[in-house]
Amino acid sequence: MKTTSLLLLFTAFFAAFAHAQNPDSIVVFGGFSRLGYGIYADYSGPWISAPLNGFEISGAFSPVRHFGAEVDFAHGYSPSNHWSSQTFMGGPRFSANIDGSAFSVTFLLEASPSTAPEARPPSLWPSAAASTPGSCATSARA
Amino acid sequence: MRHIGARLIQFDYLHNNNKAAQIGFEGSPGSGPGNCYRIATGIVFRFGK
Repeated sequence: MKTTSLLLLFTAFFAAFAHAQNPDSIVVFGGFSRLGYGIYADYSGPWISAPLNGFEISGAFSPVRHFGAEVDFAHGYSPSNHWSSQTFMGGPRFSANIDGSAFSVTFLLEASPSTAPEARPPSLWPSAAASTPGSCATSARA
Repeated sequence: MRHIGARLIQFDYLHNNNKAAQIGFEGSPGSGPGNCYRIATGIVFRFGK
């Protein structure tokens, strides 16, 4: 029991010390995003570029140096075909500062990539439900 | 301490595992899993000690 208490006390002290030494404990980002997307006409092609432009915001919290968690939301819209896309993602984050520049790599799991099938031409409607909750996507950023 | 800066470029690689999802992850309507890329740029606020 005494050993457990000392271990918990040491862990709390170490976590507090690590937080105090962390220059980027909270990072908030907001800006423009562009999602590359191509349309391939049925059976014949060719590929047609229809990128989705929009915004992206994210927040990261690093309780200890270099390691933390991040949540991310992005919305994109393609004026050429009126498609839109939203992504909600979250996951662990690794970050580092090198010569004043911050770099990070994040592995994000997406809860529900959403689409707007009603905005598409009927010929492009998918055969299966497009916005099925619980689908999964991963993202790595640098 | 608070810092304000710019994130010049953010590169996202998105891999979709959902066979039902469509937009943004593949090119052929009716297909399923795929990959796509996203870039972003903007403002960063940093808080820490």
